[in-house]
Amino acid sequence: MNKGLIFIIFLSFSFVFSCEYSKVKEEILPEVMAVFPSSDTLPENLLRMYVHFSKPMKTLGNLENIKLINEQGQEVPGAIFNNVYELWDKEQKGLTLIFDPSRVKTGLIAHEERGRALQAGKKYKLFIGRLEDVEGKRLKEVYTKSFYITEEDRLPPNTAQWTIKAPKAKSQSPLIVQFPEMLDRLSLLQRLQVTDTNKQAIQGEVSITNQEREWRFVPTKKWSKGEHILYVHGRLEDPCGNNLNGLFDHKIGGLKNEREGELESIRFKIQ
Amino acid sequence: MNNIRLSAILFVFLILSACNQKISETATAKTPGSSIANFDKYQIAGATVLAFGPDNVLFIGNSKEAKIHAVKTVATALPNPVPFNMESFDAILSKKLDMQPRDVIVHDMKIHPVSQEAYMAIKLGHQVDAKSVIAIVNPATTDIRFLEVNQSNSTSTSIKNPASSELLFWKETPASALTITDIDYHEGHIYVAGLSNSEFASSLRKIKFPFDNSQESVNSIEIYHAVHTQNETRAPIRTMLFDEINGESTLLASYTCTPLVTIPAEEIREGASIKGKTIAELGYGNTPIDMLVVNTQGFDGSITKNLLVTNKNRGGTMVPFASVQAGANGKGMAGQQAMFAMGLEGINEIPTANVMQIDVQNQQMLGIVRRNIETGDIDLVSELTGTFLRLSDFISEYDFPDYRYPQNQMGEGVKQYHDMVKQMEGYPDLTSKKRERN
Repeated sequence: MNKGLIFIIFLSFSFVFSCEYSKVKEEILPEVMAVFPSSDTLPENLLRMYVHFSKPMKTLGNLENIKLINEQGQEVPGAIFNNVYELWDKEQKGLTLIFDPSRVKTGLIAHEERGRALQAGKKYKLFIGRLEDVEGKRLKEVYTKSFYITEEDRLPPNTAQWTIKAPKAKSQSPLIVQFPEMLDRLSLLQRLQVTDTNKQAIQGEVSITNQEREWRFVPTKKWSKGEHILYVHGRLEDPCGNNLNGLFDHKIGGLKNEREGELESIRFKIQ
Repeated sequence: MNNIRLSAILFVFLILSACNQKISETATAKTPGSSIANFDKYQIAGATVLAFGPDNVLFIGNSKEAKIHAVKTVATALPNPVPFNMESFDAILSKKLDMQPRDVIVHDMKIHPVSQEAYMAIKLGHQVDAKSVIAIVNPATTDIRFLEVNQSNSTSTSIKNPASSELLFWKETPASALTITDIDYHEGHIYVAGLSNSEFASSLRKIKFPFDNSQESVNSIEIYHAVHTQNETRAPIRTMLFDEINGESTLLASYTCTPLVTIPAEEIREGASIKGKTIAELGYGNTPIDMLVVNTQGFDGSITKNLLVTNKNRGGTMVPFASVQAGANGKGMAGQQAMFAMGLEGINEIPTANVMQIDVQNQQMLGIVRRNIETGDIDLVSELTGTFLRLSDFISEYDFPDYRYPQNQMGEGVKQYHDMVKQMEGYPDLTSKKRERN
């Protein structure tokens, strides 16, 4: 065999390999990145869960492949609310699951006849089948989140019980707010705002840690010394739909305020 | 030299075989609408909900951009009622759009009140940046054309966040999204119901039309629970309509957990905290799709006005409007301790399973988009109001060649009905006269 032939065969194989490699590279399959609430202990009246995917997903027909499974390995029928519109975020990577509100709420016919899908003292699994991404590729593998159910949460979020850890002035350390109970992740991302005393918003990055029991805010500029305000919107919810104004499922006249969404403010000093 | 020539051929062959799959994939993936002239001008960022308003204006709810478009449509009245008989409509439309049927997503359908054409909100594919178009289907010609949304006389408005204090707090995070679930026009305003992917709040916005940048948002709508009279909750409206109840303009709203609630229209204003009256529960484990008023004709020729609700997880629910009025006049279910009743007299289930979209087409017919469970395809068809079914979906003894209708009034009535429906559903050859002749 002459050198020219060897060289051409080498070229052929390297080209084929690169073609195959590029095909493999395209075949990165979508995966479930996280399910919120992140805790594995959840209350019986849980209203909402979020599923985060690594790639944009198709936004229709997914709920048939997402199931609540009981300790016996059987599907709990009618647990997850199968809406006409699936609730996706704008990037099509985050799906909101709602536990059928007519079973979560007390006093509706569904609740009376079927009870809540989640029962305290029992274990469940959220099963996510091999859903398709926008290109028709299925999830790399099915995903399950196992969790244990405790008594219902009938305590609305209460800012008086929050702990604020103020950072040092002239630093970019995070402002840390800790909650005695887990709060709703999306609510935490959009319902808290730090301002100076002139109500000028401080810009920065929010992260949610410690199983949605901690909110951290890192400013884009260094903290200035003095008083600051943490505004909390009254519609801030926990994962059961209870908000600052009262319980999701409340007695008539049981809300703190007739108007929903009033602001609460917490003043803190940066030294 | 021969060796080199041979290996050169081998080289080309290997390249072709290795990349063949990729080449063929690229060759078949066409741009949506590539064979339609100037298709770009019909495309908009998003279209999920449709509603007709005054003077043939079509409102288009665009959840992706949180906008409502208003487009004046040009329409010619159809002289006679003409049914839709377009089975496998998704295949017909996707062929026109150079797409695969599975990538054509039908979000909503409304029938033009004058032309009886079906206006359909269609999403072109599953990608995050996939555009939408409004397809217009003519029942007489079965032609499909597209609406130019951004024409000179069209207007649009952005859905604002309720109350100025919230502006600061409703951050535009990619994680948050408001899905428009229904739009209704009523006396100079459009009413927009939405569902958030985070908070489970009742959001109802009232937007003046023609748009003048003003917008009102109710603060909250609380609804009573049916069984225990002391509880209530906030919940998002799924579908709604306005009608007169005892001379009072009233919003009838169906909720995501299917209570039916009445709210006087005059209570819907900026910052209002509204108590909706729960007049019925339409069955659990279900979500309502569409709600409309239909008139049905009895055997004696009398006309009954009904409220019809189609459901995602069960057949449709129909209730005489007189019962709705009685319910609205009463205390509502909050005044009832019992749970055995659904709240209203005369609630009936009607066979509208697999109906994805429904609208009144004309005095005799309803226009329907449905998932055909036999073919798996999406059909655009019409059904007679009152029977709510398509005869051609069924095989019965009437279809046997030797079947003879009984020689009595009932038999004659059934025969006439069958002949009319067979004609309407596109099977004129199967009417009794044609069969007798054959």
